[in-house]
Amino acid sequence: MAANFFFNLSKTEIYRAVEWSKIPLFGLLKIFRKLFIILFIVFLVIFLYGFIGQRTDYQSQKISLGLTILLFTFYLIVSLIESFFNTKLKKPQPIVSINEALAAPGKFNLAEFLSFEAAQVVDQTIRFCRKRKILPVTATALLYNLVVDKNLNFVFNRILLNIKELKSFFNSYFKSLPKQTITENDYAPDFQETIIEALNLAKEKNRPFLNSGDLLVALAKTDLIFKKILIDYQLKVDDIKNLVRWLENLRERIDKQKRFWEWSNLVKRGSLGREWIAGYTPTLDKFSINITALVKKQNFPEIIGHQEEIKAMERILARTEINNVLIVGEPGSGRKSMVYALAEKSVLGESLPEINYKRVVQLDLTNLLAQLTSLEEIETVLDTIFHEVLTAGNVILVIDEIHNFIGGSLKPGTVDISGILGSYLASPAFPIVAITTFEGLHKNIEQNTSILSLFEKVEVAEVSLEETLELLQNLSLVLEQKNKKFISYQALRDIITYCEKYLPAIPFPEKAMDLLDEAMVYLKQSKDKVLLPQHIAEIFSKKTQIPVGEIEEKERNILLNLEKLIHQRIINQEEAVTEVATAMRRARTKITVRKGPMGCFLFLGPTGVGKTETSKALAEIYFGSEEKMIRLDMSEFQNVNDIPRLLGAPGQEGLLTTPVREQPFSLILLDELEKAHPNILNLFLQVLDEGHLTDGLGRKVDFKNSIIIATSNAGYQIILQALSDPNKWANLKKDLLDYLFQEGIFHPEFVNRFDAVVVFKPLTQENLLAVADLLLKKLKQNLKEKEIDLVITEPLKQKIVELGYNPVFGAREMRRVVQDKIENVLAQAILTGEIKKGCRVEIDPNNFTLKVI
Amino acid sequence: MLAILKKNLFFQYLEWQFFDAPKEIIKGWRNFLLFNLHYFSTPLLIKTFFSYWHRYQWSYGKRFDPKVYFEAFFSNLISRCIGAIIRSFFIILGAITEIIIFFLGLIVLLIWLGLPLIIILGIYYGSKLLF
Repeated sequence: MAANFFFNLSKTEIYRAVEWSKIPLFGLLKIFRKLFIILFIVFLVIFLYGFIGQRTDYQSQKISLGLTILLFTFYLIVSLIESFFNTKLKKPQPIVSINEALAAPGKFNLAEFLSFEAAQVVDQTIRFCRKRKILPVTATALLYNLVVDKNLNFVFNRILLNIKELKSFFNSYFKSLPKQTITENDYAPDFQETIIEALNLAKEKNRPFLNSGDLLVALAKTDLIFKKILIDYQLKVDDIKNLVRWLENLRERIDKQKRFWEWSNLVKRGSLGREWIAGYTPTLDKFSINITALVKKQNFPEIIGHQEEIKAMERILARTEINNVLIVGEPGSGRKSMVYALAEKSVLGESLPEINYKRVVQLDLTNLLAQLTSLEEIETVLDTIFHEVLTAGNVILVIDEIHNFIGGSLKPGTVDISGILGSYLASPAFPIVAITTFEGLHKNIEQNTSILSLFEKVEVAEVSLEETLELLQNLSLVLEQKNKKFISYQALRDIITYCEKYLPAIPFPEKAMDLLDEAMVYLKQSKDKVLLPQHIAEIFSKKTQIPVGEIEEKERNILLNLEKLIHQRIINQEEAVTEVATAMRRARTKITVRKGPMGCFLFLGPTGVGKTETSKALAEIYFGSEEKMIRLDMSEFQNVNDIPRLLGAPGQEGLLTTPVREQPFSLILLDELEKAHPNILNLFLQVLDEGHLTDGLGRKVDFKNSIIIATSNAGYQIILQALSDPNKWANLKKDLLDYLFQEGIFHPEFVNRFDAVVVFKPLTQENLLAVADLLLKKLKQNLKEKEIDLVITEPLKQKIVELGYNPVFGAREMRRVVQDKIENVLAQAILTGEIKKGCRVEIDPNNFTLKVI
Repeated sequence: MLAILKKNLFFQYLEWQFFDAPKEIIKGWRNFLLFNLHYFSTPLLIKTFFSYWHRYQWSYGKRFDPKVYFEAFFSNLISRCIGAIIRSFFIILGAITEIIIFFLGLIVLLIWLGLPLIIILGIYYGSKLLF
């Protein structure tokens, strides 16, 4: 490495700036500058006071004028030095590009590529190592000096790093190192690696220099101690990268704002007289929202995401024909922000000439409909508005949720504007941006082909995770200032992780921004000062009922005792319960990263042995309630025509896809799977394999957080036969599957995709007694609330088993027997007053009469 | 040779004082001049000097009717005249500010270039007055 690494800071141009900055007086330049200007003003006033009224003598005037001139000169000198230092010495031009240097790192002095701040830190590091006699210079020493330097405090504060603690840790670490002053190389391999890595990062960003942020990101990759710190703080290299980018963006923005003479800053002040060539729009102004004015008021917020879509929108609007845009996207995907971006680019003259300096105005149809009552009146006003847009010549009209006002079944408070709109749309002087959803497009707009043909569609995908993070970062600065709280980076990161994983039905960025906003309100209530990942986990769990974040004690107990808890409801079926419980533990602890659902099981066995009950029990214990179970009776899907019912279609919600999109963290029970059409079973191949499916509206539905349990009683005869012949018992599963494959009920490739195929055994006499006991105990519990004590006797249980058990229907009938024979009797007795509070009752198993003891 | 000069602090200062910084000042000066034209929309106002005021115009009618024709003609003429008067006012205002910015920029540039001299003179006269 050493031969390939040439690094000598003292031989660089930037080193001179570093040396200058070390002069103590140099650090006081700013103070001197301020002092000189204040003194200059004071002496100028004194001089003028004496001079104008001739209040002082000539000598005093001479002295005060001399001081005034000298102080102003000193002010100029200090300003000049500062300016020369900041704009020239701190920014030397490298002789070669980073690319060339990286191609031959042994040939070029890599220290030439350090920015001033980075050079300062490296210089401090070298001096630190020499002073402490811990040569060669290591990456860890560089990290320590980055922490001490304060230049990256923003990053360390955001990850809630305890700098004080860290410094004392480093101090003891460096003390423990052997003292060494003479080494073969000046720089340790990890330091060399860090510099090369940082250069690569700067190259990626197309910067001629590497800065201290690049050094920090590089250290996250190369330094073992920093890696350990990151693990302790549950952070990754990408997190440091994101934070450094955030800091760099902020600094860049502030620097840009300071350069007031630049065109981009000047042009924000707008222009006079441009509107004089445009017509007046009094009616439009009354029923509209001026987005251009809003953008100016918000001081031109940064445009993040949807860059390609915005460009497409601009291209369409600049056309000479069909210059109307139809933005199609899910609500919350940032469709409106595209219109804001358009307005911003238009004001700043950064768009195409046909769009520049035009007014972007949103028609407030809701307000218009609220103010006008009769249809004729509405039509007249709309016609006036559209005519004004046409004659004004400088308006880009925006109509939000246009599907509400075009064709289809119109809801109250809406009106069909397609007739009036259609006559204007064809005109190139009438550019429109209409916003709709996919559903609105299919359901309403596509029905009106003449209107649709006058629009050009721009489909909006959700913004990327990186862009969402940038949006959250910008929002958090606003929220922090508003609420006087601090938002940790980990909280922002978790918002995105949870939203991505558990709320796939809503697009980014709105869901994440809403959650941050909600979290800040929650934080205000809690009176904590810093928004932590725990807060996000708490609020997210409360909102969605999905347990996220650190596994809490309660959940830990549930997971560890899952078998026991399920067995409180399920008798026997050890294998099934164990399979399900282990899958859940694997999923929650994230032991395996899998493509398919959290777990998928095929339960085989006769009816009434607890297949459905196991699923219900799991839904209740783990997912919180039986309601969290999406239950589909697959016998309802026996034809191919039933697929739209399952996956949804325009205007129709999918029985499978919609609940999963809305509640991805749930248990899906596919009852009587064998009865579904084979093509429908094929749909599940992808779900089991890849963990996702495309619904009838083209949206991706994610099954990665679901558990899929399919039940089937196909081949139950084989199980019954095995009961009578114990020899067959050992090979039961194999025989059963062979039968299913032979009969073509399921294909092997389908069955193999399940995590486990579990055969539910028929219940024995003993099991049945336990089931009867379970049912009666439940009843006893209910009665206890009414202070009535039901005595459960063995003969009663036996009688229920005798009446309720059927080899074909299993234990299912038992519930009905309990209902008919016992619950009815008790209900009647309560109503007639035969049993009262505090009574102890027993049921006679022979004739099911009530005995009050 | 060039490399040695580049590393010499004094030459670096000269380069900055008389080349780098004036370049930046000229850039900013140019931006202000352009922005002034943009702010008063001068080129656009000249281009549309005789356009109708806010596009107010009257139709001459489908059939030739002298009364309607002259009414429309005079109304349109007034609309154009109002437009031209107001525009000329802003064009003049724009031109005046453009001239002011031009001279201000020039003054700033000259002061900058003469700054070393100003400093020397400042120390000289300041000290002379004091002592």
